[in-house]
Amino acid sequence: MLKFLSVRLTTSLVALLGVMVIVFFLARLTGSPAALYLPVDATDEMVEAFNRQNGFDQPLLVQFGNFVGDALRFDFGQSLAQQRPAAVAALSAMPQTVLLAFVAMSLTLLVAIPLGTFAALKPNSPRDSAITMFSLFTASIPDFWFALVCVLVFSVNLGLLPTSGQASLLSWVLPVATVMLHPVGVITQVVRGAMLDTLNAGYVQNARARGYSWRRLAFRHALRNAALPIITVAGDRAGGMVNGAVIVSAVFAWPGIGQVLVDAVYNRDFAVIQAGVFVVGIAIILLNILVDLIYAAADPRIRIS
Amino acid sequence: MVLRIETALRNGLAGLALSTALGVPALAAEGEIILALPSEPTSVDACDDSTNANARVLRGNVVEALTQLSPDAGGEVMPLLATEWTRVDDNNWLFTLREGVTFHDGEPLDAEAAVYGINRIMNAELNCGTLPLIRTPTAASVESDMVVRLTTEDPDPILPARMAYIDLPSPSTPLDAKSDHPVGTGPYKFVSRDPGQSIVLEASDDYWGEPVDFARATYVWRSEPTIRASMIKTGEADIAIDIPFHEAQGQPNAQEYSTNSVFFIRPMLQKPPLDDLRVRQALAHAIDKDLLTEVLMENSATPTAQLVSPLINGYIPDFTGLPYDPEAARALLAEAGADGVPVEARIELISRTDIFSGVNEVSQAIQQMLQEVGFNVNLVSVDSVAWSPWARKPDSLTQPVNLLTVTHDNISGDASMSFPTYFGTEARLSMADDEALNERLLAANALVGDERTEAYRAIAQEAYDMQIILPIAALQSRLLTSDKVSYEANGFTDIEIHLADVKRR
Repeated sequence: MLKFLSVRLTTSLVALLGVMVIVFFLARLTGSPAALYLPVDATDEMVEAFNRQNGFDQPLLVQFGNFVGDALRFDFGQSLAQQRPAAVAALSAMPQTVLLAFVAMSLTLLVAIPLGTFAALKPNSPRDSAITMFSLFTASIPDFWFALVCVLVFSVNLGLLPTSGQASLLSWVLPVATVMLHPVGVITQVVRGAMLDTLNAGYVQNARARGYSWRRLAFRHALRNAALPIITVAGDRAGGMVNGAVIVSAVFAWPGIGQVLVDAVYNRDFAVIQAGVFVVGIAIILLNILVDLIYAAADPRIRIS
Repeated sequence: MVLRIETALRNGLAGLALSTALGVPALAAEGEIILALPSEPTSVDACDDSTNANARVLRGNVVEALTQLSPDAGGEVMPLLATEWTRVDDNNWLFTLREGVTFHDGEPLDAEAAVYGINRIMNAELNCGTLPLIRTPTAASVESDMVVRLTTEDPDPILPARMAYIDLPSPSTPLDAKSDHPVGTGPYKFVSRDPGQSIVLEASDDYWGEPVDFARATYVWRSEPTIRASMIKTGEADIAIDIPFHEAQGQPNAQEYSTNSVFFIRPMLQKPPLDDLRVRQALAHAIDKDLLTEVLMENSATPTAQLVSPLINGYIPDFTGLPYDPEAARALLAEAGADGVPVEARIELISRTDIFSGVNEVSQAIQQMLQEVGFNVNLVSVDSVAWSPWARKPDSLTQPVNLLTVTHDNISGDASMSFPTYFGTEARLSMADDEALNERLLAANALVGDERTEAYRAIAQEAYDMQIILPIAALQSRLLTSDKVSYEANGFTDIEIHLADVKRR
């Protein structure tokens, strides 16, 4: 177990290092921050002073060397746009992001697993058709449009929920619903497909012939055997929630890492881009290890070694 | 010569003095207002108040300048922290400071404090956003306790107007580093900033001017206009700006305001075919501004033929420029082509995606209009950073021949903040290379009064006739207010929202 974790961590960190190197150079290909932070008619002296103060006057390889040296001490530099350390800018957005992802994924599984299972129990029935229609609808609907329509209906017209911000618990409803939208549809379909395969397996047919109740069959035996593809897709979607949810940030002003990263790219805030990618990378690595552990718990044939 | 002396207290101050004399207590500030704005400041240092996002929060609220410009009187210069000013000679000015003003940290406003703030901005190492607004090197020195001397390297007749952009920070502000907690003399104190989320201000008990109505002001950033409008409809915010036409339509507290911004196209004059006047005239004839403003810009713009608004002294009354006439455009192109001008050469249309909402569609329409009369136009969409090498010298001179989309605003009342930038030979953003016109710009800058106005109008006429730029539209926007507050939009609303002007209903 420990060996597995250390190997997994090492390979993941090597991958993260590669990503950081690529991000460092790609970010600098997008143009000089001086064009953004100084007035368009700034003098040469102002541009030179800006570049000197922020180290952009150094050769690229020197900048990279400085970045690596500082990053080893977890110092990603100062955010140009936020006027605070980049690591703080990135880390401060993570708790809200992780919490939103956790709540949204938990609710997604609570909705999608029963729906997919009920659909699979009676394939091609009206119930199956209705659930399939629902899941295709939620998986296909543009989330940006969904978010705005929800605001107009539930906030403006019905006055039930706040439009944006984080003033109360009610502020969570629309962001969580928006983040859940696509995963609910996709995971319901995955559950349905996996359950259909499992329910047609010989051991299930045998158990059915012995008179096991459908509830025991579905949720105790079949679901566990159908779990692997569900965990795979749920893990993938959870990763998307951790590094994304940009729509939620843009519409609802949710202070997540997705928005921090997008703003950092627009603001040519290289330090925050690098810190954000690092923090998200670590989160994804941890999530993947968690998924591996859940695989092993769900299927005893998988050994963590 | 005394250019401007404060001859009477402003109405509010007079009212306050009267109520104090009569023993009527002024109403204490109470309650909170919430403002939903599209973008947060990139800096909260007073010396960076050159962008709308920064100045909307800070200028006139937390920090104040020696002078202020009147939003509705053609940019007339009015007293603020200076009560009067005198031009001693061509290069020297004396500004007398208002008595009894203190910064929020308790430091008094005196000549030393003002000199500190002004000279701090002039430090090129600090990279203040407002520095390029001061066109000639300017140094401040203490003349006496409450009098500041400003010395300009070259004569600058509109220095008092420029001083309206130089917000004064407390002397406790670092000299060589940007501040993340601005301390000024305004009616509100800076309390806190949660990056990406909000900025909170609190009414200052010691403000020298008229008391404000609200004790607390919270700014929140909502990039999506539908959300900003929704926040007003649900009562979550009290003022929301930059609201599209369809969101403001039918709303009881909607107001339209001018952004003072003009959208125009800057042709690259150095390379064929745009170095030929006939080709540039063909461009002007080919663009249907009425169609662009009425349909694509959703009534948020009006066609214009000039770089500046009627508030600016270089505005030419009744000048309408070349009309939309595709046939004339085709004829001019054919004539130029017959003379060997490579009119079929590919021209890049550089569309900056963040200058106003819907600019992508407008740029596509312009590309289509130009192609219809025979131009070969390739549309390139860029953000503000990628736009810079196309816009600024020296990089801009080495780019392929192009048409650059630009917006420009000027609330100073004076064309010197606009014309040299786009018609001068030295300016970073200018493609003009007419030395004679540049000389006239320099000469106009030294004039005052009607002579100045006439000189700038004549320069503008020539620049427009030469199609140095192709103005398209003057931009407008809308704001919504809640039932709780009363606020009259003015000519500066897009740039500065003075919370002192926001009253309780």
